[in-house]
Amino acid sequence: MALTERTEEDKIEVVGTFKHVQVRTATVIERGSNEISRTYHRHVLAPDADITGQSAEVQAICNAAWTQAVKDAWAAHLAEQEEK
Amino acid sequence: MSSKLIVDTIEDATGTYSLALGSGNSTFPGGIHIGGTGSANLLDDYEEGEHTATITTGSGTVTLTSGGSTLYYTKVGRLVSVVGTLRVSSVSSPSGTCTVSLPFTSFSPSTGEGQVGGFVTPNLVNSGNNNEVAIELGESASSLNLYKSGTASLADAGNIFQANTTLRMNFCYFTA
Repeated sequence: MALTERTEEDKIEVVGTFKHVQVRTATVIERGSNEISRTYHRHVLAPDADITGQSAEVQAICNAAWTQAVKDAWAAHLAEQEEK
Repeated sequence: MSSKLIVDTIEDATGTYSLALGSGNSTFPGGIHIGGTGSANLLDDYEEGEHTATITTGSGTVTLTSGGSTLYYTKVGRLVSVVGTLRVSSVSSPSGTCTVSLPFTSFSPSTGEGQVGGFVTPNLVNSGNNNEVAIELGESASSLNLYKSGTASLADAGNIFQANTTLRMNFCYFTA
């Protein structure tokens, strides 16, 4: 039976005060229905991130989590960090 | 008289939790308490993986090679260890601040800035710079900051890059 490879965003988390969106993408190798291996790739999206290249599901979560208040708070936080 | 029950695996009805006593792997989705039963004693996550890093400068751009943008991480509880070597393929007048993206958001302590420990060693840097760089991680950050060190005060590191510059990275930090 042939091996197949697929990727899936198997964990999308909204974390912290500023609602960073953490995305875990799993690459799954399978023989039929048996999983042979699973490896992970991670990336993080801050509230000022360009999300045009993200999946529709990630975009929807970002748009729901990143209210204007969150974006403003994040911008203020960055400005504060800049001053330190 | 003692008795003995020999089993290979103990598993719940759904197969979600399992304890392999012989060969094989045990599964504890909720984590394991070690040394106590409080939340501070709960080891609830372990993960190995990769992150495709990007370098962002205040102005200009730094582009990494396709094979030279991978950072490798291991997360145990809230501690993330990251290693890898970033390789620059090309630049376009980079200057100013310099950040490197992270696989997880940093935590936000009640006092002080987020902490990071480790080393970043640049090689083949742009002329006029040395290879001394300090790393800093802010609170709730998705990228760490690089600064030129080796002088009285830290300075923005955006202009250290040129084609073929490498950054050997090895650092740890806490997640959100």
